[in-house]
Amino acid sequence: MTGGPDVPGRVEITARALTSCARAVAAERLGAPAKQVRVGLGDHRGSLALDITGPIAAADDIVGRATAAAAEVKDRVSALTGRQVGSTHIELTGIVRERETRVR
Amino acid sequence: MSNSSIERRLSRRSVHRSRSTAVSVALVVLVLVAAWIGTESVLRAVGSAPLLADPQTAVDAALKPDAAFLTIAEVIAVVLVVLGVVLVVLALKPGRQHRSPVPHDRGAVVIDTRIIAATAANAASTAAGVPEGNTSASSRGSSTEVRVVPVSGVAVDESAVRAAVEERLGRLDERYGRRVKVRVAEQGTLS
Repeated sequence: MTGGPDVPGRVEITARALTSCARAVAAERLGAPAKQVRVGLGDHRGSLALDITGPIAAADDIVGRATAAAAEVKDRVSALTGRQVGSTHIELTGIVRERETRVR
Repeated sequence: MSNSSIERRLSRRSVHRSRSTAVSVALVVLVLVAAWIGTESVLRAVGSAPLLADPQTAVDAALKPDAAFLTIAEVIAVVLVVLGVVLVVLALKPGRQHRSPVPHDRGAVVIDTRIIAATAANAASTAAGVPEGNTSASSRGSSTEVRVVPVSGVAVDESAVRAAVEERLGRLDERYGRRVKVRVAEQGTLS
């Protein structure tokens, strides 16, 4: 990314930073803790491709929620990083309940 | 281009390869063959024994070859054809070296073509907003080809890149900015 011809230099976002950002966004949208969400980055015809693996918060329509989350993650990551996100692939591994462990 | 004829000649001599080596070798071979034919003729006129072969018998053998001589003649013919093709190619090709003349008001300036390619790659990376390592360029004569690997998610405007490269190369000499080809890779890389 450059600030135009008047601004010398270039801003580079490392793949690691992009991954952390996408992971946080995905965890937020899925309603799962960020620790359990894994994100892989790839390239889809010049656009960013996200590969999200993680659990989703319990809901009535899980598939609908996941689809909506995919679209939301796509838009949000695109807005935050300034990169075009081409495809978002979500792989659900489980369900996160509101309170998993008993409070002692 | 340089103004005076000597500067033009200097830059021409630097950009193109000299043909003197090929010419020297060909002439030496020619002189040897001519000297041999002359020697054999004189030896035959004097009446003494031939040095290698009597020219008359050599011509007779070539015109009416027997089976053993035929293969030798074929091999010699093939070698001569290859040599001739090599010489024709050497004579007709421009023999351009990897150098390009650049106009300068003082003296003849000749730079390595890789410098032009690097300049084009640099201009392309700045215009496309990709790291320097993602662009590469090759230059030959006055045409330049730039390859850009985009960063995933950042679209590369091909025409903008071409305009930037043409502008930057045009500063060296307007000839270099005319034929610029830009290729953007389908697949990008992460950062």
